[in-house]
Amino acid sequence: MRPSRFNNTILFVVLFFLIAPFTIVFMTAFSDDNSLIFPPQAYSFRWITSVLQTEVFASSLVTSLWLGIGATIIALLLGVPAAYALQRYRLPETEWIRTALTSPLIIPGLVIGVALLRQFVLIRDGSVNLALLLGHSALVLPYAVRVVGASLANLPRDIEDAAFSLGATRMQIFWRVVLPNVRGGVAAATVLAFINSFNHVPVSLFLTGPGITTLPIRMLLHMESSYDPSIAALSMLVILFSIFFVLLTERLLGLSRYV
Amino acid sequence: MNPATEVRVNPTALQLSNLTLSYARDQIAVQKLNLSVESGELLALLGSSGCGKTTTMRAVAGLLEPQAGSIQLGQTDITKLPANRRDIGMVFQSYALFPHLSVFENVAFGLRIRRIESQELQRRVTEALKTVDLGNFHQRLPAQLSGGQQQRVALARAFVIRPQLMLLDEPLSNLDARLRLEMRVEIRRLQKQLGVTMLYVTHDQAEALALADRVAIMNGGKIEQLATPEVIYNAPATVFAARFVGFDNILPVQILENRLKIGKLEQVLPQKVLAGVNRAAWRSESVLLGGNTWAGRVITRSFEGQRVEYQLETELGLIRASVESAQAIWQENQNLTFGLPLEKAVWLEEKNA
Repeated sequence: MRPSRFNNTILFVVLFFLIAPFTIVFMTAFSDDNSLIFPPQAYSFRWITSVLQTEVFASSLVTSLWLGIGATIIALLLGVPAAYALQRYRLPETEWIRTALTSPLIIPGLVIGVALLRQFVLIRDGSVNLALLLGHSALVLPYAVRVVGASLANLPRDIEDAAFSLGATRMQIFWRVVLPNVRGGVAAATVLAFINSFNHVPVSLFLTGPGITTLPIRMLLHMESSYDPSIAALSMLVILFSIFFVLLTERLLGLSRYV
Repeated sequence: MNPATEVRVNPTALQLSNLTLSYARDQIAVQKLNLSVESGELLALLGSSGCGKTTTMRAVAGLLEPQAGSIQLGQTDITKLPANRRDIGMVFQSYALFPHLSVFENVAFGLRIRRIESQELQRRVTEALKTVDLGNFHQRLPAQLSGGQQQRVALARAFVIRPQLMLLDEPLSNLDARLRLEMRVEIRRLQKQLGVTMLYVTHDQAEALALADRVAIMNGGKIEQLATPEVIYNAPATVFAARFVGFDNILPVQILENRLKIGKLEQVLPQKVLAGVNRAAWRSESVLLGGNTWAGRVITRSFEGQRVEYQLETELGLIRASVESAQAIWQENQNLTFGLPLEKAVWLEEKNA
């Protein structure tokens, strides 16, 4: 199709809507003002420096990081074998299982949050950390199942049969043939799972307790009390970190080669 | 030596006994199949799609569990053995190379699973790749190879483990016509050179006849005929086999004592035929155009280089004839007479007639 003036306009508008908010965040991150004004009256690094030196931000960042990494690992450990089984064994219940595994995408996070809160904190008096980790794992599990499942669907069955007849056991087939060929899917699932956990608010909202707060919750709390550019500075750092994470995964697992 | 009467003394490499296979519970794909493949032999399973030939091969490979019957490889009953313990090398129609591994690693796969030590592995893979003429392609990925080269890798990967038996499932059907002829010769050379027993599945009769020591024609999950290519080609045993190997004209006949009735014409039968014969079959090149027994009219005439192929509308129905181009004087819509030489006929019995 030839690019028409109309198409170009649509493209421009879409890009504007996508990029404009980031521009605002990035510009105010370098603000020298005392409150959040756009455009900033003066520029400096002081809010960025201040954010980096704030103890509560650092500790909630650590919480978010281990939570994101932990939830992603759990989701992959459960989700990849599940996706493989769903792909290989066509049971009548396959669709039900698939729906159940992806339900956290559809059920509102608030509901999951309340459910986990009741179960872990109120009734069983369990640890908040564990509740958070399990909540986030459930939340990002669908990405592992769906994305890796899509990769597996594209993998020809023949190559597994070939490996089988060459003497490989089921385990060897999975590790040496299946997994290397869905690396792209695993990489994509890793990125999606981690970023989603890292940015998620509703589930964390119910499960964070004294001393344990994730970064997005900390940012919300901060905004309620003080409306200053530190929130923009922090947002910019989060965005840069997310980009860095995607690039790193791409580098390590070769995302774009497959997806 | 006449291959038809050749006495075979080789030990049996593969024995299928009363093998019954099915994919779905009520859908029988193969029914009580009996087949033995001799050591060092290349046996082709020939048939159209759905005849059970690939199903049979998958059962031999261990990728499909038989409903009944047994599979014996050499002296061992392997019916219950999983595929990874069968010592069989398989070449797939799709090649089924591992996309993430180099040519070298693809071929090395089976040896690594067998924990062959590194020097020996290096030597055997190198030698295998040299055998299939891919000595300079060690580090390529499968996606960087042509179809023919991928096929060679698949072959090397299967024979490098020195299996007791190799299975080839339509290995040439994804190649273009010229390459197919080339690879046909290549596979035969390889099989002789390695002395390996091969079971070869194909739907292409020319391929089966050219390659195999013996051909089993399969239809509806059963073997119609098992014989040498010469016998199959010259003396098909069933109507299906005859049609499959190019007997295009198969006519209903009646045998009355020593007399033969085709259409309305009765004639003396020069040779004895078996009881129950109710069909006679001629190849298109056996039809004698210009002979004076039957009348017909040319519907199509197609020039094929050396020969010209005719379709005739006749009192016996549609007749296909083929004559050398130099003698192909008849044009479309022209009336002509022809003969069906009895000495070139194959006498058959259609059971459901």
